[in-house]
Amino acid sequence: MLVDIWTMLRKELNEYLIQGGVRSKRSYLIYILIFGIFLPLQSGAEGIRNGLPLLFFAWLPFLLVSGIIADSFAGERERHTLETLLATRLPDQAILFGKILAATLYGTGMVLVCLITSIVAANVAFRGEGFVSYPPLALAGALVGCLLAAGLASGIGVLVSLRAPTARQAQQTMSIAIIALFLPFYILPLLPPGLLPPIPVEPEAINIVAILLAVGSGLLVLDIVLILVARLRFKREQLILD
Amino acid sequence: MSEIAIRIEALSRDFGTIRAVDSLTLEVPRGTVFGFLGPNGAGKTTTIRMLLGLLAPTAGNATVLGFDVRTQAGAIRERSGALLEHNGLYERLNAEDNLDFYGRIYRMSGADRQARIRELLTHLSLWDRRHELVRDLSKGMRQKLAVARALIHQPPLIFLDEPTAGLDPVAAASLRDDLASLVQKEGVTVFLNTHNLPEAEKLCAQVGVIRDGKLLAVGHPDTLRARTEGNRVTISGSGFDDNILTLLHARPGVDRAQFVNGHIEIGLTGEVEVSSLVSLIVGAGGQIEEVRKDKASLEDVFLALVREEQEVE
Ligand SMILES: Nc1ncnc2c1ncn2[C@@H]1O[C@H](COP(=O)(O)OP(=O)(O)OP(=O)(O)O)[C@@H](O)[C@H]1O
Ligand SMILES: [Mg+2]
Repeated sequence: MLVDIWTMLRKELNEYLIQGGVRSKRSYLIYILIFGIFLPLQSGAEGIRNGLPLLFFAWLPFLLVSGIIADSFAGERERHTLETLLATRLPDQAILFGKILAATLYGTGMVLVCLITSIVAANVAFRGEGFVSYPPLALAGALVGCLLAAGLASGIGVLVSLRAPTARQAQQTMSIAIIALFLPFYILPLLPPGLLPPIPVEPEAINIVAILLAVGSGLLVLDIVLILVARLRFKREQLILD
Repeated sequence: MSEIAIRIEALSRDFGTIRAVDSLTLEVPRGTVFGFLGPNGAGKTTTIRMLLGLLAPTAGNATVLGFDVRTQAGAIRERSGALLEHNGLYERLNAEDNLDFYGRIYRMSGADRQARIRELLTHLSLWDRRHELVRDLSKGMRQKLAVARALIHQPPLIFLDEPTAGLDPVAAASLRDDLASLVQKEGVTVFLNTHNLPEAEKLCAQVGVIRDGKLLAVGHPDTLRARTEGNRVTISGSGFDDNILTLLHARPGVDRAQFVNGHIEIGLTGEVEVSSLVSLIVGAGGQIEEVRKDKASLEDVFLALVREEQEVE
């Protein structure tokens, strides 16, 4: 089973990332320039020591993953490679998990590259201010968070892609789903204060670690549920007739 | 191991109110090339999909290599290769990586994959182009590559769904030659969908003719010819008139006699000495320049079968 997942994953990464796929070499560079150099340096050495730029990385997995995962099934259907793939011995799970893992790994991998680049860039830019880096705990949290977020994006994307007739349509539906997901964060601050439930008064009373753990577990559960739903919706006959 | 590779019993498949395949019963012996011949919409693709366990039959049964299409599809797909309606190649990968991916799918070792890819691509004259992206190959080369992909894991059975569709005559002929030689070399059983009659004649030991989901006839292309139409004789010359046609018609074994482009075309149902027909024409005042005896093509067979069925309706 693991061998089969690896076979699928390998082909996805090879097709998308290495040989003439959707992501040109230039787009990697743009991501790295923006998220690895420009945004972190804006925060200054102190900002980095406080872990401020890590907040930017919340978006990154969604940006990175959605392009690849939207294409996963819809793209193969559009380019007429899906039925041939389904006519092989590869088990359903291997095809599904291979594709989800490929997108998740790509998203997390790029975040890691950007993080490392930003540390290197900061130490070059802020020479003489001692070693500049993120708080270790925040860094670890950000990485786990990115992995979970990439998993979330992959899970949503694969569900959309299983049914979408074209990669383009999958991409559009995916964008709407992500906007819907983030909508509360934009709307809540705009609401009149009275409408919101009271927040514990002193900020010190808030246990950041506990909140992050709760959010993380929530994401994990959501990821698992999405993958299980995708597993249920993966039907060869349905995929061919759609 | 059974001598039958594919056994189909009263297999049917409906799409809503359309019956795409209608109680199909058929056996394909191991090691043969079976041609499934029918016009557009006859139900050929639907049949292959059911045999690969990709579509569930509405009724009936089928076993492929001894495995049930409903319950053992995994085992069937493990042991067969396929070139379906579309070539299924990844355009953004090169030729070699396409084959390598499928070799990995079938759990071939690295060394086996390498050797097999080299063997197949060399046979198909594609070895020098193995590093080119599929999107840069010609349509004929892509079809050949897809044949190589179907054979990569040396399956005992392959399904080919109109492999030469959309190719120009030269590319189609070249692919057929390659198919014929590969099939012979590998001893593989082939289930070949086609609406191209010369293709079936060239490649197939057995042909099944299907229309509207129903099987009209099965047999060796030659047997089918003999059964449906018999032989055809074309006589050219001068001084032919209606009287000659009437005389010919009266002869036993002559099914039809007619003028075609100034020649007389005679359809024979039984064994008739052509020389006796020649002397009859000469006796009636005709001058003969050439007598040609040609077999009815599979095309004639096909049209006759379709006509027969329409008459029954
Ligand atoms: N997914 C589907 N939904 C509805 N009807 C279908 C579907 N697939 C096939 N059919 C119908 O079933 C019949 C047989 O189709 P099929 O594709 O098997 O024919 P075919 O012999 O392969 O034809 P062609 O030579 O055009 O490929 C046709 O009437 C077709 O319209
Ligand atoms: Mg077809």
